[in-house]
Amino acid sequence: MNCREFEDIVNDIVRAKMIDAASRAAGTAHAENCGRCASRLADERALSAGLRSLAVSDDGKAAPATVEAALLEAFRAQVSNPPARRLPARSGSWPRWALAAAAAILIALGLIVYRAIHIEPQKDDKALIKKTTTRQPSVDREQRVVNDAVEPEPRRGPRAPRPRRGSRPRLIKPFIIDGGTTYAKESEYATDFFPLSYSDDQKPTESGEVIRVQVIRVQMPRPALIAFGLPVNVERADVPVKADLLVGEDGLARAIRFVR
Amino acid sequence: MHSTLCDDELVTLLRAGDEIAFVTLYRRRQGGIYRFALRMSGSEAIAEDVTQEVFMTLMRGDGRYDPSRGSFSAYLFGVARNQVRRRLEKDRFLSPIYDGDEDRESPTPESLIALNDPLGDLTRKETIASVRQAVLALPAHYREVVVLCDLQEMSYADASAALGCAVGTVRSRLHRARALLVEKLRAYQSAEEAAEGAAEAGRTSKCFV
Repeated sequence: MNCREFEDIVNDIVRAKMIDAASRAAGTAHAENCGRCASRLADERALSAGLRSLAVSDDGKAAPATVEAALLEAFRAQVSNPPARRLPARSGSWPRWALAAAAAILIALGLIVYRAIHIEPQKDDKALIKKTTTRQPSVDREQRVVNDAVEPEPRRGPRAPRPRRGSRPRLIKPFIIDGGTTYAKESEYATDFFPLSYSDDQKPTESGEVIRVQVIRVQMPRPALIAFGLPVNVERADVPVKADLLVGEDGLARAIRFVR
Repeated sequence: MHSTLCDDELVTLLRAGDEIAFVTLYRRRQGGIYRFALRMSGSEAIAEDVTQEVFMTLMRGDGRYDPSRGSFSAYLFGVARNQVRRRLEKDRFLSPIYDGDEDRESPTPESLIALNDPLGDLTRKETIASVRQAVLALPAHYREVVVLCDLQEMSYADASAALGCAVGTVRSRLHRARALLVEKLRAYQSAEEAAEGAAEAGRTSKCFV
């Protein structure tokens, strides 16, 4: 037997697997007369011993009882209701707490802005908007009115390529309100504003009334996109997403748009 | 009664909605699946998820088990392997960290521990930690053959059924994987010896000061 043939069977020799007796004897005899192969055999034996120790140390490990309980529950549900019901993933999907946290952040921001407006009003950062007579005016439309009031000819950039999924809102180039830092820049893309309603008693405004709004740039956890039906890139889950909040005089955030 | 049935018989009963058959199969096979996922990922959380998903797959009848293509065990490991790969791919930016505690590991057979030899015990634990680290550092396709064939003691034929490749491929991957492990363990050993040498040199220089 030469070194190459020995190399072919060295794993089988040390792993005590099925190997014919003649090959084993030839391999062992070769190792006794070849220093390099003897060293190789010793390494393999040491590795096998290490792997055995690792296997033994893990021997009692098993899934916790909660897994069995969850599976049993799912099994019973499936038997009583044939279409299989998937268990919720234990990890790797967006939990509800992330959505709740996003909502809490929005409310907290609203309160902060409310305090800021009432303690030290800054007219430069506010815009006047005329309330429309539409029964449920979209915030985006209100924003365009703001734009008209501040800048006679609103600029709108070209539309971004059509998104793949129908539910995905169209990305549009934002219009600029006053060049302030609180608004989307020309180089940025923003979604349409998504109206935020906290209660059903927000009634449509009467024609001719004027209210003040403010646009505030914030950063939000990326999972907040899910609440608005927007897709989330899982690989960038830890990277916050920029958003513009449209905050009313009462401190409540009325609408939000996401910016990139 | 169910405990005396073979896997295939239990699968037949399970498909008919027999809960005891499902529980019997789960208890018989979950340990191996959990340990496979744990050794592949180094994460107990992933191991739990994978174990759950493997038996959910079995329950739903997705990718139906076909006895002519391999044993039931090989089928389960095949599903587990795909689940682990999916999870590792998803979490590929996270470093695999073994989140178990060596000290609270399962009871170790007394034959491997000399109770009055703390140094030997320490060495053994260090060896296990080094081997575990080396296995986790292997590329996935090498890691899975080491885990299946060496740690789970699966035959080449069953491993090839679980991995969906030829027996020869399993053999050659295992050969290469073990060579890589030897290299890695040698490197760890050299690093440890260098660190010990530096520490010794530090102590000596302090004596002179």
